[in-house]
Parts: sequence; structure tokens; C-alpha cells
Amino acid sequence: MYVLHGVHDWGSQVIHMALAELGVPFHFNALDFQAGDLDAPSFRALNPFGRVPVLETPDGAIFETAAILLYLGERHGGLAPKLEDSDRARFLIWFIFVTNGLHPAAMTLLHPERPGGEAAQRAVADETHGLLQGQLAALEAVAATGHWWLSPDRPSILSLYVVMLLRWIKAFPAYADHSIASQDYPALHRMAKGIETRPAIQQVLAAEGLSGPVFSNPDCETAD
Amino acid sequence: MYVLHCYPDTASLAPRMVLAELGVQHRCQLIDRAAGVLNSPAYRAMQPLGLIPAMETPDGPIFETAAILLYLADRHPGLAPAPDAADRGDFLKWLFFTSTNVHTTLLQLFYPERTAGPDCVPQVLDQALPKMKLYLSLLDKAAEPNPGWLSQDRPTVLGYYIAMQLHWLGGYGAGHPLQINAADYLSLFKVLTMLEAQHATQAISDDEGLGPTPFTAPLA
Repeated sequence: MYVLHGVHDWGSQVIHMALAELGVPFHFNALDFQAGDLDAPSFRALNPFGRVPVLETPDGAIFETAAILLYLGERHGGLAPKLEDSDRARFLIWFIFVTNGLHPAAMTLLHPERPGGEAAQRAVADETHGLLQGQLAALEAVAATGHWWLSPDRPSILSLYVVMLLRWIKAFPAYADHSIASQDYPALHRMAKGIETRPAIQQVLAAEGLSGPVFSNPDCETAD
Repeated sequence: MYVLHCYPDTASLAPRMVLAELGVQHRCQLIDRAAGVLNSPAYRAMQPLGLIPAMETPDGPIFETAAILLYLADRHPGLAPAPDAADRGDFLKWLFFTSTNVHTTLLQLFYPERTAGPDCVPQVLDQALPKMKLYLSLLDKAAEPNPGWLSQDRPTVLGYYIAMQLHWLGGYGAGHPLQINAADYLSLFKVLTMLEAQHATQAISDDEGLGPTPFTAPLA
């Protein structure tokens, strides 16, 4: 049985959703970051970095969101093109584009102080806001071409990943004027709506204390 | 037959070495950057962002360095654990660690102005350098037990991916504040030394003008 170590409404959410959609048995171990759970030696033994998510598997503990997703996609099938499928290459491009590009950019929009300290944080946030729009436009063009793995109709490890990031960049940017609405990207917006209404996803969201248009139109929670 | 669109000493280096190592039929198409090929409609149709590398495959074009490496590893077994192997999870974990942490931080070191504009370059570098050293020490620790997916005895896709980045990080020259010496990471250094002795490395290093020790002692 899989054990997912995560924090509600953090990056572990996409793994939580993938496990639920696969219908495999798993246990969600909710960590309390404020209580220091991420620095506990037992957690650091699983991930020397102290970051979530970590998935304990029969093959050992895996970290890195994309690594866990791809592993689950390969072990169980259904959430990603198979190795021999002709759209595997195209899928991999955009999956890695998201993990290397969109995900770090979204994190920087939320935490612009990280790449250059406080003095640079507004400049970092401004650059990142522009960068994200370019990345989203590229992704929107792919979603508009109708690949199942980036569509409203059937979830994939890629679409689940993208909708979580759509939530973050709408709801949690460090600066309120950097909030990006998914409505600006119609195909991605439709995908977010399709995914958030799936029964398996609604169960996960409820377990994480969330409801409503969590991905397609979440409330802005930025303080200023 | 694969067509890899290359430019010397750019991110096409690792896929190029892996193609040579695999011995699969391929052609390296030199990108004419001066002529603006990266912005041409033909290149953009293949790689919409105009970045290097891109590779034409029987399944259509593919880009993103890690995607190309993973695609090649899965199509041509031998340089990474197969999808059903017990150490596949470990391989994926460190492949993505390398692409999302090491590679993205490397881009901040080389292009700090892209992160925060021209005014905040020193601040970005101040954060990125210690981060890079931490990431490399974690990778070094992962390499210590000599795992099959980052072997010190035979080539792997992850080995070539890391070697390419240490080649760049070590190219500032002794005494430069951003210089990172591969020799400080003992297990990674063993991987690099082994890769450097491969015919594939030597042939491509020679072709791209990178000298005889591109990984362990790159030209400044």
C-alpha cells in the first residue's frame, strides 16, 4: 500500500488526486508543517530536503512531484500514454515543460523572495508574472488541440498537475495584482472545470478541506 | 532515424552524447543561429519556444532535455532502469531532481537577469550559488552507493545529464566566484571520469571543441 506524506492544499494535492483517480489503496499521512513535521528526522530520512510530497512505495520512498506522477503513470496505466503509444513523446514534452517551467514559475510567483532575497522580490515577481503568461499561452495552444491528456474529459497526471498550478497562480500570488485567472486561457479553464467536478477529485478536495471551483475560479487568498 | 537539432556546447550536448552512446541512427543538424533559425517558422513549429535542443523522431518532434533523455532511454534500453524495474522509482526521483532543481538553478546562475531583471543580478547569484552546491552534494550522496542509474562503471542518461551541467559549472576558471569544481563531489567525479573515457564523449567533445577533459577539467 502506498503512503503519501503531504500537507493539505500543498503540492502533494496532485499526487493525492492521482491516487484517488487510479483507485489504488493508499494512506494520506497529513503533516503539520507548523509543528515542524517537515524537519523531523523520520521525514528527512524519506526526503533529505524536507519537502512534500513523498510517496512510500514497494520500491522505496520517492520524492519530486513529477517523478512520483510518472512512476504512478507507469505502474498503473490509465493516467498517461503508455511507452509504446505514439503520443508518448508529445506528452513527455509538456509534462516536463510543466515540471521544469510552469511549476517553478508558479512557486516563484507565490514566494518571490526565494530567488533573490527581499530586495529583489518585486522585480522577481514581475519577471515571473510575464514568464508565466508565455508558458500558459504555450500550454493553452496544446490543450486546444484536443489531446486526451490535456482535456476536460479524462484526467491524466499532466492535467491534474496543471489544474493544481492554476489554483496556485490565481489564489496565492505574493502580490494581488499578479493573480492570473484561468478564464484567460479557455481550454485550460474548461479542463479545470471538468476535473474539479469529478467524483474522485471532489472526495480528495473535501478531505483537504476545499470545495467550490477550486481550480477553475478559486478565491484570491493573497493578503494585500 | 533521429534528427537532433544541435549547437556546440549547448543543452544539445547530453542528448547528442546519449545518441552516440546508444549507437542508434541519427543525424546532428547544426542550427544556424546567426541566420535566425531559432525564430524561423520551421523551427518554431517543432519547438514553439525557440529553445535548443529539439529532436525529430518517428513519433514527431520532442524537446525539453529531460524529455528527450527519458524518451531515448525508454526506446533503447541500457542507459536507465526499465519501467518495470525495481529501481525505476529511484531513477525517476533523481532524474527529476536534476531537471527541476539542478538545471533550473543552473539557468539562474547563467542568466540571472531572466529571474529578476538586470538590477537584481547579484542578489539572484547570492541565492543560487549555495543552492547549487547543496543540490550537488545531495546528488553526490545519491551517487555514493554506485547505483545502476548513476553508475561509476558504465554510461547512463542521468550521468550524461549531470556531466553536461558540471561541464558548464566548471568552465568559469579557477578563482572565479561562481566556479564549481567537480572534484569536490567525489562520487560524481568518478562518474564523470568514467564518462570522459567513453568513445562517445571523446568524439563529440572533439567535434564541439570542448577539449579532452570536458567534464573533469573543462576549458575556461
